[in-house]
Parts: sequence; C-alpha cells; structure tokens
Amino acid sequence: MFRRRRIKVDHQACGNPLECRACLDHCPESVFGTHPRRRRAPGIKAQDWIIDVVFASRCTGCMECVSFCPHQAISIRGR
Amino acid sequence: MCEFCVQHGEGKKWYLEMKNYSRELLAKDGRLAYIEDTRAHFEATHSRWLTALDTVRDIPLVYSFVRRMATRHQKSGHWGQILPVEDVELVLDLQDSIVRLPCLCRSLLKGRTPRYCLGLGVDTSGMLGQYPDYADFEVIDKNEAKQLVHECDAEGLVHSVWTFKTPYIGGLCNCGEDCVAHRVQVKENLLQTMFRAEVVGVVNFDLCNGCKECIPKCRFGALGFSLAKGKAAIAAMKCYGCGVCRAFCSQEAISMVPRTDFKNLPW
Repeated sequence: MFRRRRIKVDHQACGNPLECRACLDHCPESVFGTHPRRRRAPGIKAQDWIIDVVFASRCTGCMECVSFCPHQAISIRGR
Repeated sequence: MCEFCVQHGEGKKWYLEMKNYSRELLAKDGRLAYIEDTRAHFEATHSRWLTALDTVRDIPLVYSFVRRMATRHQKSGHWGQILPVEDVELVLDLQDSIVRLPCLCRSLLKGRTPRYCLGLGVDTSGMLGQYPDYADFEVIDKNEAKQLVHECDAEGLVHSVWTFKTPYIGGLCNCGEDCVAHRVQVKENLLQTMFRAEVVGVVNFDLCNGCKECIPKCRFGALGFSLAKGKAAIAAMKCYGCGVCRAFCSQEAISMVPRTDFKNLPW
C-alpha cells in the first residue's frame, strides 16, 4: 500500500472541474471523482467543485490525465 | 429467496410488498432526515468513504474487518437489489408518486447529472424542493416512468431498487458503468452493497445463432462465448439477472429463470 503512485491535483490551477471534465472523461480506470467543497443546504447550491482522487490504487500511470489537463493541474509521482 | 425476502417480504419478493413503500414506514426512524442527508451530501460523503476503503484494501486483516463492518452498515442503511424489467413494471404499478431525479453516482464519477434516477413514493417537493440543485425536479406518471425504464433497457442500463434505512424502498436506479454500486461491488470488489436479482439468465442453445451481439452488453462478466458450441453461454455464478442481454438478443434465445432453480447460487 505504501508503494503507490501519488496523484496530486492543484485545486487552485484546476478552477471549475465541471466546465472541463478532461480528467474524468479521459482516465481509462476512472480514478477521479468530483464533489462540492461547499455542501448543499436549503437555499444553497453545491459550489466549489473539486477533483478528488478516489481510487488511487487503480492508477496505472498512463499519464492521460496529465496530458489532457488544460491547466497542468495534475502531477503524478512514480512508485 | 434473498435474505430480505425472508426478513421483509414474508417469503415473497420483498420489493413487491406494499408495506415497504408505505408512508408510515417513511415517517419512522428518522428516515426523512436520512434521505435528505443522503441526497444532499452524496458526492462528498461517498468520495471520502471510497477513498478510505481504497486506502485500506491492501492491508489484509484491517480490510477484512472494514469490509464486514461496511457491508453490515450498508445493509441496514442503503442497500439495493437488481431487478429485471418485468419486475420494475410491477414495482412502478405500486407507486402513487414518482419523481425523476438527477443521478448522483454519475455526478460523483463523471461530473454530469443526467436524470436517470427515480424517487419512489417520496414527497420530494417538501424535502428537496428547498435545495436549488433539485428545485426543477419532474413529477412523472406511471406510464412515463415505464417508458423511461424501457428506453433505459434499450440503452443497456441495469435497473435496481434502493432502500433508505432498510426496508423502506425509496429509489429506482438505471445504472451503467458509472454507478457507484457497480464500481464498488463488481469492478473493485470492495464490499457488497446490493443483491443480485431473483432470476438468472439462461441461453437456449437451440435458438442461439452465435451472433455475439449480447456478449459486450453484460456488465458483470457473466456472458461468454462457448467455442465448442459456437454459441453464447451465461455463467450462472456471475449472472446478476439484470436481463440486459435478453433485450439485445434478436433470436429471443435468452430467458430468465428463478435463481432458486440452481443450487448454491450467491445473492
């Protein structure tokens, strides 16, 4: 478990993931997920969506997400 | 007969029992608050839990403990069962209100919210109407719902019912590969969150012409091609009984038989 690829998402550089979804669409193992940082409440819409690395152990290191990200927000370090 | 049919259905199919959809049950045990909480914070909660499960999956003893506890937690809270399309119609006939909702699984894993999920019996206008993300929900009638389910069947989507604090059934999902339950149970095998259907598919070898149309449609890896016979074959141990392959068979060679006809099949 400690020999895992470390995927880092720079939320500052990423911006709004719901407008781009490049990593969500292009990851062949669908490692990523997205969730709102500011939760829904009565009268409040879900806001500040961020990309989250959910199934990190499934990453094969194909670097598709890194090459498709328009903001260079994702970085992967090897095992 | 699955575990829930014995506990909540008196030996018959538990999802066809009217009492599992009743308003009295909905009002008990803080179900309304539970449904509101599940719907409102679905993505954040599930992303946190799935990340945690994925982290411990390679630590043998810890993971076997976590898996058992998480499965038990799911079983009392949010559990599902796959349904073939004819049972979905029977379930829809029992409902007095059906609401079409955005799919939260696809929101979590794909960032999109197509309206594939159906809320059953829940008066969503009072509970979820105050949430701006759900404000424009659609109330649809039985015939529209059946039409939607048949459209989903033609797309090759799997139908399932979901409990909110078992045994209250509050949702009907039409899932593809982006379903969190499919991801967790079938693809990643992290824990069990749903039962298989009460039926399994069987190929009639006299009718099958070996066109292989059905084989890529199976989402559970149960359909294979028998080289010896030159026909499709279903592995009953892996079959979830969703009936998707039957919808794509031009020869009508696939039929669903009760799961109890075979011995020792898992649920």
